[in-house]
Amino acid sequence: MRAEALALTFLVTAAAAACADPAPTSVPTSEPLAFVPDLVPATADDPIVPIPTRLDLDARKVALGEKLFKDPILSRDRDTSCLVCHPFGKGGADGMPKSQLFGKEPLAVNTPTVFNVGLNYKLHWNGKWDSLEAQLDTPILNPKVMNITYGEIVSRLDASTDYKPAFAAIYTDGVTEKNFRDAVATYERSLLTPRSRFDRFLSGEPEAIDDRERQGYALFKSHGCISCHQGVNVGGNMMQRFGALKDYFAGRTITEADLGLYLVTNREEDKHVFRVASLRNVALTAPYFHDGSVDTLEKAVRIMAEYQLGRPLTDEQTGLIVAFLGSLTGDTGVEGL
Amino acid sequence: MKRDLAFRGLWILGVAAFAGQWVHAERARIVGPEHDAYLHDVRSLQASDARLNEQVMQSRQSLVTHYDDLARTVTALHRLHGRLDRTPAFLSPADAEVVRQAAGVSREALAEKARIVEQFKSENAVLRNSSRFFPIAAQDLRDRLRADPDAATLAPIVNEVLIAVLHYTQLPSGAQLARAQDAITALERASMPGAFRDDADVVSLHARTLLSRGPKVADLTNAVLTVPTAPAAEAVDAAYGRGVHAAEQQSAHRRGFMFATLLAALGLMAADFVLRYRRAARSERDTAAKLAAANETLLREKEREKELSDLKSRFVSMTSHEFRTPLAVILSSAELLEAYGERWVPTKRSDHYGRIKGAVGTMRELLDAVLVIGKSDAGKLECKPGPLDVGRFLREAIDAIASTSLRHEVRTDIAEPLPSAEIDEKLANHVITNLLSNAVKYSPAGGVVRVKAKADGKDLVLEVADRGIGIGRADRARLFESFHRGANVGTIPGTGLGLAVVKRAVTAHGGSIDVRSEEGEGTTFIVRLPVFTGESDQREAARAPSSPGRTTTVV
Repeated sequence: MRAEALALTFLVTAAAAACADPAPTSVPTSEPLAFVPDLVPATADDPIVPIPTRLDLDARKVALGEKLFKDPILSRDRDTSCLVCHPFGKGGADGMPKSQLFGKEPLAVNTPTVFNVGLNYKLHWNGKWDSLEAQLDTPILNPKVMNITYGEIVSRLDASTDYKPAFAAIYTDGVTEKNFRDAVATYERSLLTPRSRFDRFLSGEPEAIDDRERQGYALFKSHGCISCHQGVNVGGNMMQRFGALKDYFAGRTITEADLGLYLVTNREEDKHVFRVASLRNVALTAPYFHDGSVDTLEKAVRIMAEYQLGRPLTDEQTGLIVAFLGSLTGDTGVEGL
Repeated sequence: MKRDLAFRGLWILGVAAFAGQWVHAERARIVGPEHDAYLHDVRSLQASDARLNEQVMQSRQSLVTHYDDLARTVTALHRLHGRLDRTPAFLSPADAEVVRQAAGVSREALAEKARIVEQFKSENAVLRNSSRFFPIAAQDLRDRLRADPDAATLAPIVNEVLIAVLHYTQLPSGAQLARAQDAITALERASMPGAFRDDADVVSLHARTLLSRGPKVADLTNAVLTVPTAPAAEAVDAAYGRGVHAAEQQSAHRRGFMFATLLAALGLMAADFVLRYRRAARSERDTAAKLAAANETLLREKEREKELSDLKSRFVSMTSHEFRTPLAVILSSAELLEAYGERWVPTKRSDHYGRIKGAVGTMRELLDAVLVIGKSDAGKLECKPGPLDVGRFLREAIDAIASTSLRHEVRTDIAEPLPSAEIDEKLANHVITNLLSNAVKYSPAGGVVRVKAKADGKDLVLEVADRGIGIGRADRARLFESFHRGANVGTIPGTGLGLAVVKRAVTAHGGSIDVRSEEGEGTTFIVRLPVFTGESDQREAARAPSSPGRTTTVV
């Protein structure tokens, strides 16, 4: 009798426990918000939107991501961190036409800035990636950059007395590839450069930019630059052929990197199609273009006007636009948080 | 025991099955938040797709100034599709697969649409620039040409380009296209003065851009709107709806089955407990009953032992007494005869010899009785019937009694002639002798003893009645037991064997014996012995006179 009573008690308890603690439901993971609306809205019909000054991110993930971003543990030989190619002092890129790490081949394309990447619609010059988490493949797996595998990174982090508890504190499943990507991407999203003079102008401070810059902005719009360089990141939200109105590559030796989106889609019509670069902090991120072939902003602006707009600029006009672009340099010291 | 274990195992199994089903059902239960989140995604898919179309149209009309919102919508659609693969756990695997397949179709449609949207954005941006800039550039060139006397003749060529291209952009048609192309070709062939050459090239470039990009953007817009994302999204919605419905029904069925299992298990459990309780109670009762029975048996055996022991002691005391009396008579008569026989008169001598003979006779009777009872008890009392004249036999028996008693009157009433009978004479003798001697012994002097005999069918009915002391009610039950004597016998000598012998003899002969008696009133024994054979009975009855003979013997 006692045995049965025990068995029954056990079963009832088990059933009750099963009832009380149902199978874990897959709660949709909170999508990291691109940004929350700013307190001071831009004028409704302005094609450029100010960078938000507040972000809704998990501060613990940001801190962990920052540590990872700056740690050479992510490279096979422990000699390269993300910061090597994305030093903050140089506008989030290394200032070289094509980055070349010690003892390695130079990269195929110019290193873009890491600032404001969270605001980009697509990533990489050829628009290969839809998310920062996915984009990590480019530096991590590249033999010319980190030259490592996620498995190796996970085992290194799992063996680390620093990282293992830090991951465990944030993620229930500790160190995993997914969580690694999440932490780094979350940190990258925090790397915004708000409060540029131009954003302050947009947000209701007419005196934040000077007359030349204001004229440059007007020209930027009227000349047609704004058709592609628009939105919060002044670019970064669409693809465009390099040479929309005039063949930029005519008479040049075409490299693989010049093929752009074609490398992703293999469609003839996608040849030389690149992601429109963001012009945020553009004054800091010379040299320019996917191949880093242009060393000054003036030259870059002229090339754009000629090949993309079919509307050459005068020296005066170029100067005005360059002046306007300078007002897009944001607050890189405070990383968005 | 084995059946018990199987029974118990069955309900424990039932409860376990119930618990298992419960866990399973809980897992398959339609979880509100999970369902809401997924349904929200499915519906968002359709809403976002509609918004995407709207935003493309707005961009086409230059109603929006940047692509951020459009890009965000596409991103949202990609994320939604990423989540749609994680179907809620409560869907059956088959239904979940159907939903995922529908989502896959939707995702492919979206990928196609997103690709076209990207092309649209690129081409639309270029078209937008040219459509804005072309009229300004063309007017500017025309006006400057007009203002220059050397080049004024070229102004109409530029003007024709301006008019034809704008006309075409407003009302695209084959004719307008041909006109516009002709106008542009004319401009390109015209020999522009150096100061106007570059500007003319720019006008031509943008004019051609409008002619090529205009239809392209229109086609891309059309393509965006015709990619079947909306039906695909609806299909996901429908598949999910069907899956949820199926899951609801499944859940209801499972619950029903689950509770049926529980009921069955509880029923079995209750039955098990009841049966075991009953069995326990029964076994307790059984044990008690067995104990009681054993106790009773023990008591009975003890009693029987006591009875046997009593019987033995009675037998010993009785026999010793009964033997001692005649032995004493024999001894005293023998001693007297030895001492005085010479001097006694012959009559007195013969008196003592008579006493000796009588005592010996008594002893022989006693021994006979003991022998009969012993044989009977041993099952060796045999009945060997032979032809016997019942009337004569009875009369001789009565005469024999008469020789031992002096003061009783025996009246016989024998319904003669009796049919010829087959009787064991020895057994019959035991019966009649004992009954008669008892009747005489327990009747006062001068009492009447009646003996009746008649034929009743095949039975000889023999009645011996006296008016003696009778038999008490208590004694009647044990009347035929050996050595049992009535409480009212007083000093009348007796062995307590006579009736026992009678009973055994009657039984051995296949007959029966009844007794009617009142204490102090007298006793009647009725013996029935099946002694007449049917045929001879008829013959004898036919031959014999009907009047029964009646005699009285005074003894």
